[in-house]
Amino acid sequence: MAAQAGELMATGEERLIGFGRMKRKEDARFIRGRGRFVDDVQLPGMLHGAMLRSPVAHARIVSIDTSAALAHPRVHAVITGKDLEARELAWMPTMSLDRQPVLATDKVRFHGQEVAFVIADDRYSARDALELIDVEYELRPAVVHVRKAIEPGAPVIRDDQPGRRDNHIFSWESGDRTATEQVFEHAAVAVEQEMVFPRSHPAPMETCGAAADYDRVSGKLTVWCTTQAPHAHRTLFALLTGLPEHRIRVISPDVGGGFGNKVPVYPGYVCAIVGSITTGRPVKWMEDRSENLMSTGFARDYAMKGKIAATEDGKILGISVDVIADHGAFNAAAQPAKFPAGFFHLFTGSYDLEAAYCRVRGVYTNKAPGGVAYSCSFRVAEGVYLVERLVDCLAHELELDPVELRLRNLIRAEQFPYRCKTGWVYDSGDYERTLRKALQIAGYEELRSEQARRRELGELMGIGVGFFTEAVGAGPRKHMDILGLAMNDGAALRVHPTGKAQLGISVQTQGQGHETTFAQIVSEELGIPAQDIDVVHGDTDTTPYGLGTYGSRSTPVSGAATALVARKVRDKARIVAAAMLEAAPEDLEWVSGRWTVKGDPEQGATIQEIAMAARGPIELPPGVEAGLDAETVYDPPNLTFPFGAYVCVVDVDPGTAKVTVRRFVAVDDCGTQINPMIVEGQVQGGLTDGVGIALMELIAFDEEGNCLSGSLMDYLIPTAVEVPDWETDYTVTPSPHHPIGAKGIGESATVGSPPTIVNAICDALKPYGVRHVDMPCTPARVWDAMQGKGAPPQ
Amino acid sequence: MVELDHPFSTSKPIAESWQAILDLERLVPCVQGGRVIEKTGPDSVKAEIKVKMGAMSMTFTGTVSVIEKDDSAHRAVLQVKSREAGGQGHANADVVFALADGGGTVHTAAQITGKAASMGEGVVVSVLDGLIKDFTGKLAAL
Repeated sequence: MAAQAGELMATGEERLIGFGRMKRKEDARFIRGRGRFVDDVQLPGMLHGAMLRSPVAHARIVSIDTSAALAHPRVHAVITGKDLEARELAWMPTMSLDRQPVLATDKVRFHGQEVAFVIADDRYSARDALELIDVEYELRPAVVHVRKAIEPGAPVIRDDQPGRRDNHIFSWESGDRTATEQVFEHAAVAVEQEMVFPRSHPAPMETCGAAADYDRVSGKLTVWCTTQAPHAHRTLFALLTGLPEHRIRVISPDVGGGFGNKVPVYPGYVCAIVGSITTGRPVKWMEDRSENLMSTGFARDYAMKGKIAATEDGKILGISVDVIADHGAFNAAAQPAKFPAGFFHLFTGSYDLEAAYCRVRGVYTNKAPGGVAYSCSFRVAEGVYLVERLVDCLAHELELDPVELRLRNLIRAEQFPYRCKTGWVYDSGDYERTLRKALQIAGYEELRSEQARRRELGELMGIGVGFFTEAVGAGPRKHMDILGLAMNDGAALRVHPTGKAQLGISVQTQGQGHETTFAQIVSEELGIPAQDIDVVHGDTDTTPYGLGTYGSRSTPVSGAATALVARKVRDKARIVAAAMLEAAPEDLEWVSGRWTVKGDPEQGATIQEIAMAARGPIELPPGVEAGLDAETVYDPPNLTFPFGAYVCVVDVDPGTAKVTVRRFVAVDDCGTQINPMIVEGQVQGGLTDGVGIALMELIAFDEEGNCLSGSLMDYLIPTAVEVPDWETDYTVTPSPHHPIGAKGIGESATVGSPPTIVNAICDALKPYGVRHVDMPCTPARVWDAMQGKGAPPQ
Repeated sequence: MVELDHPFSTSKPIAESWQAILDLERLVPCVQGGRVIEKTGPDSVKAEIKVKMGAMSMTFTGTVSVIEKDDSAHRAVLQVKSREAGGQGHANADVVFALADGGGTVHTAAQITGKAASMGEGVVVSVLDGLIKDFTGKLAAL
């Protein structure tokens, strides 16, 4: 069997059975350029679509003249909002129960909004024809700043909603307001800090797109789509178009990065579908880089006023925060319905305190919709940023070492399961152990001495420490749903007679390595080599129903389903083995991939032998069906709570204010690790995201609401040049309620690294009396802070 | 909103310069890439301007009108309203001319949307600044 392992398997990283380092099975095709993405889909007679977008942030559409575009010899159709209105398709529901235009009818409400869709023989002609469409806009004042958006008298963006007079979407609170106020009243120390987690963008390598093929004879619609949630999208397409769900097949082939950007349904997808239905031919639409940055699911955009109360010796008593959340022109945040601010109320972080309270107000502005993306774990990123900055601000005021302050307040190992003040029950943790490990790897004491020496020389060296707790694996069906769909996931395992297996899962890899880790879970449970297990995903016709991959939920939810379905197979195999061995099932025990007779290990059958027997002529007990196949749906009893301790060292150039991340130590605890190499890869990727968010990434707007970040020249993302060699390590604290103890790792580093880096920058700027700098910490913004002129980004 | 101020000097008598500024058919071609399409009223013209911004070139079509003029103070406000072909961008501006002996000042408050604006304010300001500098140079000869 070893000989069948792919030639890419490296010595020392080859592990045939169970958990452990193993090179990713999917990489064989990726590194050869043989991945198959939506834009690789070519169908006979395929037409191509292109989207006309609004050049302004806020305007009434006076008229749209498509005649010149329609006269283009290679154009087949031009679709406008009016055409869709006739089919009742002009507006579509968002993931947050708001609605959003597929193509604008009355007004455009953000720069880059979809206005018309051209279908032509090729994408060049479709693009050319966009310039032949004449749209007359009557400009309206744009609402750009969140704080101005909620002022009385601000221009009303959503006048499509009857009776609306303001831009307020929701007010939501969590925690105990009265108790928190009392804590602040009696606290010896209270520190207040305003901070912005600015608007950033996931900017996946592959932009969004769809290829739709409607068969007029069978009535079947097949949509190849860049989606992180193919099953949920199938249901949405059914509800949206009125097509019966069993006649819709959504295929998510290889996906070139998602990070939450590919959770929403975008107008382009719907236009490709409508285009295929109207022309009777397949229609493909792929957005370009600018379209992706300007119009698709952005991240964060939280303006936060935080307060932290403590005793004089640094015991944290309470945290209170008031947030204004910029949701853009439509509330399209993709998160569990009951939580309009996602899991932001995890903002008490990793600390044991007496009271906490938050109020979040969501507002409309003339910007692209979205908000929950870029590996934020449903806004845990914003919560962790808030608390980790507040703790450092408190350390600054108390003149305490930030490590010492954290050690005095971290939740202690014996307190788990720990119910925090906003109601979450943290499953397991040993925070101090993880923090001490990170400090030891970093050489914290030595770093502080070095810093003192460098300060004498006028050099600006900063040491930042951060600790985070995440809540992932959404989620328990009684608490969590998206558009009425419970957040459960399925797994279907087919074991072929020769002992090879196929696992169907409902989650969708975008680069996380599902084809490897999920095979390893089955392998660990059944003793089948991972190479003998094919993991199938991304095709709604062939995989079980589930809500997809985002919020680090694949391993906590679908990974659990996979372990449980494998155990179902194992239980069935026991019955078959008993028949084979002429023993009672209860007299068998499972020993490394075999059911053996207790006390007589020679007497046994491997899973492969059992698989063949299960399909063979052997006589099975009454009521037992042939084969080992099984299926399951997993409803998690709670979320899982990965955590980690990070230490960052930065140097700030005193002359140019340029920040260089010199070292970064990350000690993560995601519970049981299935494949430590993939865990490491996820952490390295997330840390790189964190450097981008902390230092350079910003979706910026001018006063008129023009998006100024529509290219990778303007929206900077980090490269190998901007990041150090990551120093990663781990501790393992299994989740008590997950079948294999795994907690999920996908977003940990993206959540934990931005505050750690900003903590380091503020530490470096201590000689200038700087307590806080808002991200992105570009040289200009750091320079302003050094001059005492720091201001939040616009 | 981008606001720019430019001084200019001329050897012409103030009355002559004043007349030149109010004569849109003479003034508009002083802007690089600008031309009058037709006169639409005593104080307004339909005009177009071709602008190059880096690798992109755009044509804006619209109106230029004198919306305020104070003959005694020699102060005039010209309003530019234009849009790019297909409505994919707008360039609107209020341009205030204030003349004195030997020259004057031009104050421009411009609102740019679309492709041009996406290049960022830095680019918009430098292109606009270049255009107006060139324009004020030509004013001297007008």
